[in-house]
Amino acid sequence: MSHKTMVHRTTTLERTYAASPQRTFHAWENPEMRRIWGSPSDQVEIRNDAADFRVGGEDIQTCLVEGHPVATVHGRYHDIVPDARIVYTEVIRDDAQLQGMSLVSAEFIAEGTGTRLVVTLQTIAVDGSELLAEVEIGWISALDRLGALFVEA
Amino acid sequence: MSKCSAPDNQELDRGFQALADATRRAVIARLTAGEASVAELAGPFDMALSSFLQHVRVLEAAGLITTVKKGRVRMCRLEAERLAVLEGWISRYEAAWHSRLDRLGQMLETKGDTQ
Repeated sequence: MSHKTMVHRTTTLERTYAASPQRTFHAWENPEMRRIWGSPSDQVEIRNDAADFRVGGEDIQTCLVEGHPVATVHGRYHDIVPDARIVYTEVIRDDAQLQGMSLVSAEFIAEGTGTRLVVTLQTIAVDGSELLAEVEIGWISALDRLGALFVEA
Repeated sequence: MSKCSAPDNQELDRGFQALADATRRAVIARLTAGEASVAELAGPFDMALSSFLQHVRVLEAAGLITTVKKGRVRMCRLEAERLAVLEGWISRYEAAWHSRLDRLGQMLETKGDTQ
């Protein structure tokens, strides 16, 4: 399947936790803790197939719904500053099909006795992105025409 | 640039609501083939022009289309970037991250003060 569409987006998420940066960082460092909070919902169970929290190390996680694998996530750590910063990439596949990938930067900032966590996701989605069926048909021509529209505007 | 900032939830909701209607989806589908006048867009639908115009306004308010008056004709065009923002995968991926960070917060709360 050729890559018809590619969508880029950068999003920053922020949370403030009562826990210290050390404890918050530990929850990212510890594979078992990462497995539990890393699930987006109670319906999704994550299985750690590999966990190697160090620069250059690889995480492999399989997302299971009712015991059936629905997606795999390959993570690779690029920068780790204990209690302060983690930069890694994650590549998400559904079966063998690439869905998207993200450069994830997590900053652990001390705030009082707690932590302000700032997570920036720089994401690319490729193909498979489920546009509403009616829209999808016209998508490519819309992109082709976009340049012309901007010239005209 | 709009691409560089994430839409807030309210914006996303407005977009999804706008697309939750068959007439409005048909308008979007037609506009992917190029801009069109309100009259051209209304043509296939068996409804009063005033009713149709309400659909156009909903799409415009959601930022999915823009309209511009050219002489006596109001032309509509698709805002492809805005549409892409609502598109499936990235929105789901980011929503998953929101949930994850909430779950992380719950975990940190329940684990007490020691590591």
